[in-house]
Amino acid sequence: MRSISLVLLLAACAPKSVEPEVSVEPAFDRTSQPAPLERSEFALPVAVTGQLSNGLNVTLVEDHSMPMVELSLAFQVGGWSDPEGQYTLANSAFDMLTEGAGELDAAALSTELRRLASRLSSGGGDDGGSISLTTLSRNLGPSLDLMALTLLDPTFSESEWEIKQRSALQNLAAVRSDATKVARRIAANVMFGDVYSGRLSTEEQISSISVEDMRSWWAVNGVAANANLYVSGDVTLDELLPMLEERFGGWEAGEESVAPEYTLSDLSETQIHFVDMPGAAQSVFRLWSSMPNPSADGYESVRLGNQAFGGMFTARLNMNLREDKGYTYGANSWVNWDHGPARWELGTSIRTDATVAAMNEILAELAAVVADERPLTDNEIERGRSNIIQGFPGRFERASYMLGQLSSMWRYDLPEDWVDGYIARAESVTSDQARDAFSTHIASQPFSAIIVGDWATVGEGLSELGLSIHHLDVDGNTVERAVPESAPEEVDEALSEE
Amino acid sequence: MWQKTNWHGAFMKAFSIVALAASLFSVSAQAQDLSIEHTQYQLDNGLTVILAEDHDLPLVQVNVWYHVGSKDEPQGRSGFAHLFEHLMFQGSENQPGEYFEPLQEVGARVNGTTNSDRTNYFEGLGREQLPLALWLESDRMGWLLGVIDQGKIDNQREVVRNERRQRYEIPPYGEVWPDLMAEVFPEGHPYHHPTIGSHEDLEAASLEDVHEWFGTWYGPNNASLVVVGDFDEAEARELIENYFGPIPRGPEPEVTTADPVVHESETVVRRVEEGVPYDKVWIAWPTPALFADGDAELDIVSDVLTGGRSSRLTSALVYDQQIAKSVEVYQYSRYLAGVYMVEATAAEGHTTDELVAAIDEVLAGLAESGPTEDELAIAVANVEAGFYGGMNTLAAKADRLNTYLFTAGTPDYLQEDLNRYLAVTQEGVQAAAASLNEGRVVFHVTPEVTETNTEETE
Repeated sequence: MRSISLVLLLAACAPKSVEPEVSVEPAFDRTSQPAPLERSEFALPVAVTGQLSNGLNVTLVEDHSMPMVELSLAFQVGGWSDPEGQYTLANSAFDMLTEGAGELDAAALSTELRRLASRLSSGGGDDGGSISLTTLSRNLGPSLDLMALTLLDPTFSESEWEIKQRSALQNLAAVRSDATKVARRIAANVMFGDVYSGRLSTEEQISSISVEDMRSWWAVNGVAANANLYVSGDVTLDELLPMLEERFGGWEAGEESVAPEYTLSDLSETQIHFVDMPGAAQSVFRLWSSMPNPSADGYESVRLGNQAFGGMFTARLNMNLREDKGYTYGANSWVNWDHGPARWELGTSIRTDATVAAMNEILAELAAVVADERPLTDNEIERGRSNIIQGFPGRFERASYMLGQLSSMWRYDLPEDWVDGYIARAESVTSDQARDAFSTHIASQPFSAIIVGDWATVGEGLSELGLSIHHLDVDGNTVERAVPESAPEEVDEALSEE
Repeated sequence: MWQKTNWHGAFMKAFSIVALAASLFSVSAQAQDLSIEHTQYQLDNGLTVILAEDHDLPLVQVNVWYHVGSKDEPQGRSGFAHLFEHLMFQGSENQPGEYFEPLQEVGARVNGTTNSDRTNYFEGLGREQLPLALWLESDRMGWLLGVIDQGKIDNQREVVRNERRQRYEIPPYGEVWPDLMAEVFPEGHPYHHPTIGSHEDLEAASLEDVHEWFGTWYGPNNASLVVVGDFDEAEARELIENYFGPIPRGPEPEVTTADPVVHESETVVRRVEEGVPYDKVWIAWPTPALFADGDAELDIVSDVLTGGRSSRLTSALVYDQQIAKSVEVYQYSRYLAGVYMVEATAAEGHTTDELVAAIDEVLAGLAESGPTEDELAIAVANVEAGFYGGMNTLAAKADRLNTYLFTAGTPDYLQEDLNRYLAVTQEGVQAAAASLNEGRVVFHVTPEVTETNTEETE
């Protein structure tokens, strides 16, 4: 319908000078959006599974377009298992797996891998870790030998750790000097408090970690019961399984480690947590509030509502802050979850002198959705839905996407039809449900805003918003900070107290 | 390498002779080890078209390159090529609203990028939406100016200035890169100024500039269109002729050239900067252009120096001497010239001067006796594996075809590109290492020690 009205409107405006001179089919008309061609069926990539004798599950998506194979041995145990006072122990242990194994020191291991043109890496996060291998299919066997060595006989070399430890200490300084990283770090801390991803690594904690600690951690957690192997590329399951059984079959099954459940800090009111970075050219914003979990009623509705509010370039949030006001290079909002409960998050970087105005716009956009002043329209929601559904096939260009979804299902106990039912779920939500859910669960709820910016410039204006402001340093410690003085005529004594 | 005309002298006039063109210009996958099968032709208005079918998934990727970048900006208009790219998303005469809107509605992945040499626009969509992508790309190629007004320029100018703040002013060391390039490429060189431009120049951009830029650079004869994915060739050709055929040919733009840059002696910059965490040093040499003689050899030098845990610079600086937190070497090769870069971060308690001395010693060793046979073989094998890894999306393939077309003069360059590396000799690598001499820029950055950050690190 939309395209018909456009034709009527624009046909008269089409410049004469550019009328096609070559003979084209009479039906051709450039003044309106063309109709789509015939759609062809999209089928999800086929994942096949097998199991080794120690219970290790193997999932393969074949892809023979290039002579390469990629493997990821994914662990569902990660930083959440760090003991008190040793935050980043699990990360450090994962990191060290590929720094020497068996008879090979770190340099020799690297050389052997490079001889095969293979890449082997390892690392961890709060929710898990992995050992990943990328190799030419013709070098799969010898590359798997090296991967198995790092898994079964990692060295945890003292001298390698000394170097990595010093580097980790320096990285901490880098995190503190980057406003975007500070905002992310502080946001997690405000959300969860001093547990899970809310913990902030410190010099003391990093310094306290020894290779002995890593060995003990790995002995309990580095077991097959905590892992799944995901493979894609130029190999078949029949070729792969015997190769894996030979190398990984003897790996100890062990006991599965179970992540605790984490909760979010309660929000009784909307509040600002401010970190001062004098002279910053922009203020970095991170907002969050609670929302229903993926398995709960309302999750899909909030997700669709968010798509219309801030989930796309053309959603309200970005159209206002970027395309209308020019306050930012971009603003968006998304839904997020992990071992902690689901939350709605918003992120943007705002030029310093527009910080207060941008905060007002965000508050106003949320209020408008609630107040029925400007509810999310059917049109906005349908565009969001269409974006989600029609964009789905494009995610599967790389086999790694499918494998990532499968590993999330395993790691977070998601429903069996998480991938298969994706489109059906997006279709099942009505516009009313999306609109109501976003209004009820998000827009009318209190949120936390972490803002990292130049207090001297933005402090007075932010203080006048009537929201409580908590001042933090770059490590999340509470600090005292007065409202900055500005031009005398603008000072309002009543508001300059916290 | 930069001629605008006659790259494709033998090309078919499009459309009526589809079958013949396909048989003449499709590249057989069996003929070469590594290739992207494609068809290439030119419209009457000079638009080069490259079609590469790939029916694995019901997706298509449309990728348009305009042969213009920040190197072509006049004095006082740095950042304009990129600002113009933003305006290309603000609507055209037959789609007067945001370009993202109809594209996001069909789940497309959309963007555009600008660098010193070219501006590109691309969208990945379901196969059924090929007409939509071609309609939009052709409409802004032919029917843009009627909808661009001062308000849109003012808005996108602010957006771009925010992009500058976000990418260059907020991250630590963010402004080192543009300042370093300005030292490597002297005043007047097309690469002297950064693509993002200066606030001052962005503020000066006018509607008149928009008209002039579009008229000079955005003609179909200065562009190429690549379509990769699940489409029928005859159908795509007809759509392309319908949508792009009526666009009038533009002027032949004057090609921006530059003399090779030679530094007779070393330039040293020492900067004390607030808000950065470590002592860092960048060492930069001007090098040959992308695909020019010597370009591949320098890439192999990079691999020998920092290609892995046991590579020469990494093992010496990070592990044996433990004076560096990290060291990275890479070549940034562009159309007019390359830059060879060593970037090193000091370990706590060590200085950038120590790093430079140690780097020089390693470089001298490689220049003196060249790489071992083993080092060369390993480096080449890893470069070769990288060729496979870099081709696993339609977007990567499409952009690769346009890269080759613009830089090498033919999209059919994948195997030749790899062959450059396969042909590298130990002597060639040695000579390349020797070319990294005192004609360079050394850029030191040291954190400013303030009371606040002293407290933090104690």
